[in-house]
Amino acid sequence: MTSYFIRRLLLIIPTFIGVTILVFTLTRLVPGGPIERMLSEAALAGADETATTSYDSQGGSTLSDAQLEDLKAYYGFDKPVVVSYFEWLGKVLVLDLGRSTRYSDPVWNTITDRLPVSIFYGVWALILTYGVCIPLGIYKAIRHKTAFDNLTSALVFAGYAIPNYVVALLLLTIFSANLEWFPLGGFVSDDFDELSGFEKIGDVSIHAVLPLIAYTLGGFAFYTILMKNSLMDNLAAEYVRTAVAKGMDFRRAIFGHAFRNSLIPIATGFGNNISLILTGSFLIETIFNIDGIGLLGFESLVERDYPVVMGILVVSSILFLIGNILSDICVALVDPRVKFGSGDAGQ
Amino acid sequence: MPILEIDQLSIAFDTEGDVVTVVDRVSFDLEAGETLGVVGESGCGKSVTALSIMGLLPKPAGRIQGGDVRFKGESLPSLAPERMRDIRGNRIAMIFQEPMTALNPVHRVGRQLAETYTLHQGELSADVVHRRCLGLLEQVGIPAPEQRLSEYPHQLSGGMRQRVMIAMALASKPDILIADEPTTALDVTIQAQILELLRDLQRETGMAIIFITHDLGVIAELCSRVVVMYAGRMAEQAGIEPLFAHPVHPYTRGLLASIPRLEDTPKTLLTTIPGVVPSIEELPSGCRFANRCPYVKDLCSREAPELVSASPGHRVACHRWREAEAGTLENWGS
Ligand SMILES: Nc1ncnc2c1ncn2[C@@H]1O[C@H](COP(=O)(O)OP(=O)(O)O)[C@@H](O)[C@H]1O
Ligand code: SF4
Ligand SMILES: [Mg+2]
Repeated sequence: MTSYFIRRLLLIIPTFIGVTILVFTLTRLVPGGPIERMLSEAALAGADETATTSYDSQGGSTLSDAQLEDLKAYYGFDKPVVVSYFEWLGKVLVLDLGRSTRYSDPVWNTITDRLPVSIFYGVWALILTYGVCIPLGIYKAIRHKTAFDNLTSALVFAGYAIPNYVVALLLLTIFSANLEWFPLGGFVSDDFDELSGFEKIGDVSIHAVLPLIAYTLGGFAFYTILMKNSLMDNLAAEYVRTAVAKGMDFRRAIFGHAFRNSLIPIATGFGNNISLILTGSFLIETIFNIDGIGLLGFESLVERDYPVVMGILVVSSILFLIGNILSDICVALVDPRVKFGSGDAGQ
Repeated sequence: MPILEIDQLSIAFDTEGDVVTVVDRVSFDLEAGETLGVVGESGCGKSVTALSIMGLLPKPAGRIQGGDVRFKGESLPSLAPERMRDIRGNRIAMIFQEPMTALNPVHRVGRQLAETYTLHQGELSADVVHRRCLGLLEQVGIPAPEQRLSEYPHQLSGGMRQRVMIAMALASKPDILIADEPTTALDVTIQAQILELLRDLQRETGMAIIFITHDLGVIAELCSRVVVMYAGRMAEQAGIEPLFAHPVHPYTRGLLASIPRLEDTPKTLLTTIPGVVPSIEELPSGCRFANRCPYVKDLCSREAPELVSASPGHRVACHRWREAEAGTLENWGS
């Protein structure tokens, strides 16, 4: 059992190298990189101008020469690819992701400033999703084809069909603007620092309700139906019949036998969810004015703050990696066939 | 009094807007301590009959349409669910065809074994239960039982898993064990071992066994009496010797003719019953075997033959049973 986890953890190394090679390849496309240089040379030759800024055809902020030099130095464009990859990897490993061109702060700090907010929403979104979908899926499986089952199916599919930013706007219009039950956005109120401990919790919570609904509603359909179908498959499985044949009542057969087996597909998707939710949705963050990673990434892209964009890419790739390992561990926890290997049965 | 009476049992399934009767007025008794074989081609209703005894018909599609199942004189279908749970797995136990899927893949063998005790003998201490589980595994011939208890089903072979299933069924010393094709999924040598195990266990414990199979050859090794089913009905019922020596129903004769025998000339073609079983949706109103029967006559397709007593302990459902008994029907396949 432990050997499985050790083997799984060792797999991180090659995966990490693969991911970083991919990200590094992308850095070759950022301004100051070979492509940009080619384009600007072409523009120079055509227009015969003395350009002091990088090639830029769509407006927006441009990079100064000094900033371009910074980028070049950080990514090592003047060195052979292999050398610059390892140099860059060395920097990433000590969390040096370069400097933001907008704030001229280290990218790592810019990202970690926003991370708590994103983690807060990510974790609660996960809890909410599993907390709603697992019980709902179980209940729907037991009540298959009843009015309750049909009605909730219609509801979760409606939630799935409406884009999450539309949900966000609707919630904001109805519950914040018209009914004024919830604040109009933000992570906390302006007077947050003056509040007492309990008031702070209340303040964060009331700000979180609508964004969380907007975040999670779309995913309810998938996980609820996954849970329902998975449980129904297992309820029809022969081992459940064996349990009932032993004299077990159906309820105990569900929770004592079918339930754990039906969690296996749910556990498989767990890690994927973590990384997706942590990187958030810039649309929802924009609508609710939440300073999370999603919004940061979006703004950086618009403002051509490439170091931050690439930094977010690195961080989310690593989160993805961690998420996958968590998935595997979750699956291994529910399914012993993973830990102990199958097909080693002797006669 | 027989320990189990199946009395005119009919079983129906709801299929898309239709109700199909898959078992039609089947009747047989099981005496305490005997081994009764139930044989018939796949799809003839053996499993469904067994499941209905246990009250395990798939819900909500399947149900008992008529007749009764009595255990020690008590009607099982009309029992309250809690009372039925006391009998299920306790007085009547069942093992299934597919040992690979019959055990829960995420629970250890020991836990699944112990469950029978916690369900029916909750007063036993964990220690006693553990010792009994060990004893059970030894009884069914599993080597290194202590180690097996802490293993998961996928770590065991098919034969071992079926032994675990048998151990589980034996846990509460049932009066009846229903074995639904317990060896069909296993290879031949393992099959022989399991049959021998069942025979030994039956001698030791004195439980009655209903042994279901599609293979008449297996029946001969184990059973004292046989029920032959065809397309949801009983064709014949007899003691093992009379059945093999003087089969009356044409279907039974066909089955016997298709068992390979030592005295057969090697490498000759086996006799098989020509044709196929009519599908459950288009069963004929007369004898269901008519389309494959070499002895068919006009009456057969008009009128379904009733199950009649040909001699004491020997019942048959065929219009021409008298001729068969008298030996005036030509041999099968000639
Ligand atoms: N869940 C079900 N729904 C509908 N029909 C079923 C179901 N289970 C069994 N049947 C039908 O009942 C008949 C008898 O099946 P079964 O008892 O499994 O046969 P066997 O003799 O091979 O064990 C078959 O025709 C089968 O199609
Ligand atoms: S009743 Fe007729 S068709 Fe049916 S088995 Fe007897 S002889 Fe054959
Ligand atoms: Mg069957």
